[in-house]
Amino acid sequence: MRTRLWILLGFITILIVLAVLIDIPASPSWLGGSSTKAQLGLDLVGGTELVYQADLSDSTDRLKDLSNLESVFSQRINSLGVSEPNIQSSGGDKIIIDLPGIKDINTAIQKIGQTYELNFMIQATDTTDGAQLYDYYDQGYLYPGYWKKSDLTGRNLTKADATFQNSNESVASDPVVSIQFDSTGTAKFRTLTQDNLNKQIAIVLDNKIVSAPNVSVAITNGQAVITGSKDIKEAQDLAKRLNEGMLPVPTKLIGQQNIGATLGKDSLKLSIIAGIIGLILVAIFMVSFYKFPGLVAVFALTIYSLFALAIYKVIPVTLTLAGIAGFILSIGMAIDANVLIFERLKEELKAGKELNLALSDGFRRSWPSIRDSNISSIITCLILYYATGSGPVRGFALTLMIGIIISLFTAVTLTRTVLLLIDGSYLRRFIHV
Amino acid sequence: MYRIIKNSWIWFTLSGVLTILSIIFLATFGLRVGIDFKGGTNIEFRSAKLDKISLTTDVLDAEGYTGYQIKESGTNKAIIQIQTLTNDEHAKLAADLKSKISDYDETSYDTVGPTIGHDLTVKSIWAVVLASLGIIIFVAFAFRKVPRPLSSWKFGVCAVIALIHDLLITTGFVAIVGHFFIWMEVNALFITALLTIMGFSVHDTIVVYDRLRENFIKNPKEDIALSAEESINQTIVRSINTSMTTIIVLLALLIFGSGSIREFVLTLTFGIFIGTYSSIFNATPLLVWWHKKDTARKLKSK
Repeated sequence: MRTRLWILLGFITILIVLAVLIDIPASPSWLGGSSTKAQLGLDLVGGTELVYQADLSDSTDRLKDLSNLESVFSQRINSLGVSEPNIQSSGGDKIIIDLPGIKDINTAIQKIGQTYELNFMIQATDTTDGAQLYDYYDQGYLYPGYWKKSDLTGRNLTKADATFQNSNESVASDPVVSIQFDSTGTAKFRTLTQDNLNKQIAIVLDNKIVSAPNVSVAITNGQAVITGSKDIKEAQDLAKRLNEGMLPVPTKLIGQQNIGATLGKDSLKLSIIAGIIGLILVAIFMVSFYKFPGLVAVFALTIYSLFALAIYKVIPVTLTLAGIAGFILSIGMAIDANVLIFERLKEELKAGKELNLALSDGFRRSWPSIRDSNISSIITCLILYYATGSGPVRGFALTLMIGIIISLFTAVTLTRTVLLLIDGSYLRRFIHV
Repeated sequence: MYRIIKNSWIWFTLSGVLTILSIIFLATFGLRVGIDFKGGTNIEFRSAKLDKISLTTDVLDAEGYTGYQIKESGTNKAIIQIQTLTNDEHAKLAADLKSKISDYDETSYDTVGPTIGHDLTVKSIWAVVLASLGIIIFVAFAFRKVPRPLSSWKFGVCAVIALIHDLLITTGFVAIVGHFFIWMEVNALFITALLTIMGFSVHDTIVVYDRLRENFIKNPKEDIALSAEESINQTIVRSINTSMTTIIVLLALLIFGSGSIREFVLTLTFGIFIGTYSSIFNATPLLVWWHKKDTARKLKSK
């Protein structure tokens, strides 16, 4: 029995050492080094959160379109130079972007949310089914003729490059933008060029014509060039706009939040101070009420905090204010298991049992209550996490749930191992009924 | 021994009065629905000016906004709740406020489109309904071995009645505080607080029920009222101590913690207090009352 307890204690000690190594800022390299650091939410570091909603009504593959949109957003965000952006999809059609440290919300929105609608239009026979369009390069110039949309859009574009078109090797060549379609786009483009031989197809960006080449032959390889750029710089700009503007689906900015950095830092500092004060007060309460077992509970609680922080770092859990509240609340709940056990222990001792028997009976008899009450809390956390899907709520539910699970280990296994290992006659002196 | 079951009528009356008062407060004052639910914009700013509220009102009126709310929030701070703003409208408003209030400093800006709001409302209602059902089913399952004539479903239903009582009174409290004292709005965090209170209240109730089950198995012949009285007395120190430690931590967070979650922590503190009260004084007495009534009815019909 005692050898098993010592092995258990050794195992717990190894876990504690691991947790401490993860918790300290300079973790050893085999534990990921200093790259394992706590991720802090926007409300703690300050920054901007943007929520985009994608219009997936025309989409055939919603998941793919949304993940494409997500990757386009990440490319644009990387070009903003944000240190630790966080992009996640939510609710099937929304993308939430967290930009820590970004204060200028409008620039961020412009860079991220710029959408260019690219359409390939064909000549309309009359004014009723077409529209007149302006020239992209010269806004004052109304392009001749009426135009209507075809089924080919920027959605089918895979890339755009600025190159030179060598019409004649001896003379200066014209800068052009070459574009490449995906397989669906290639098929559509082939039909489009076949149907419109010797007619114009307009490449239209944001309702303005970029160029309107004459179709002389059906194009089957899914490549096309856009001519008409004045110089290579302009061709490069256009290619860049096309590449960046290829949002796979139309999107709308439906929510934004900006938190000042000072507010965030103040909140973090205050929350840490509050947590420490809370811990100390709980420790005082426990020791004065339960004496020696209370001290063991406080020890278990300290280990609990070390474990919880290590797990937050490893998973990693993004800590928000609500998340920290969840953690601090779980301290209160972690102590509950110990309170239950100690109350039971007192009863068993009052009933005249020997200390060792009272200890093991106390633990055994209090277990059903601890188990049932914590399962019901975990059920609530799971429902909170999956049913609401809102950022702060999830952070809270996740930290609280992790806390409850760890507390079951520290408050029950750890406390029991320590109390059972201490020599009974020695321990008896500290436990008063 | 505390006579808790014996004095059931006192607690039922107290709880009934509190519940009715809460419903009256909710009906008359209502709750300030946050932008999380209805969409709109929250702007929080810092300014030491004493007349910042009236200055802000002037600016908002001059720009033709209606249906906005402004309230002080903590030292030198105020919150404006207003319709959903476009970026241009926001920029113009911020510039105008700055020109009127020289030390205007926007500390946070939060705007939510109506779609997100609708989403959250639906999801929150689902969360509360699912959590209640989950708890009834779990408690019924956990107490499935409870000896006849007790029914494990009664345990689940009584636990949920007690927690609905907790949620109603907590919401009523938020209505009063939000009306008379500080800015409190019903947002995603408020729902989180309610669900946590649910979890905590059931947590407490289960501990008492668990003891009742144990005592009932030990002495099946004993009158249920006596068993219950014993069980409550055996667990009351634990219930109070656990709530004490949790409330100590929450009070530390309330007094020393960040102002941004003050309302959330306040709601939690109050809810956990009420939750502990109802676990001791409502959940078990209710179970006893129901059981006795049921047995009396069955005897009569025989």
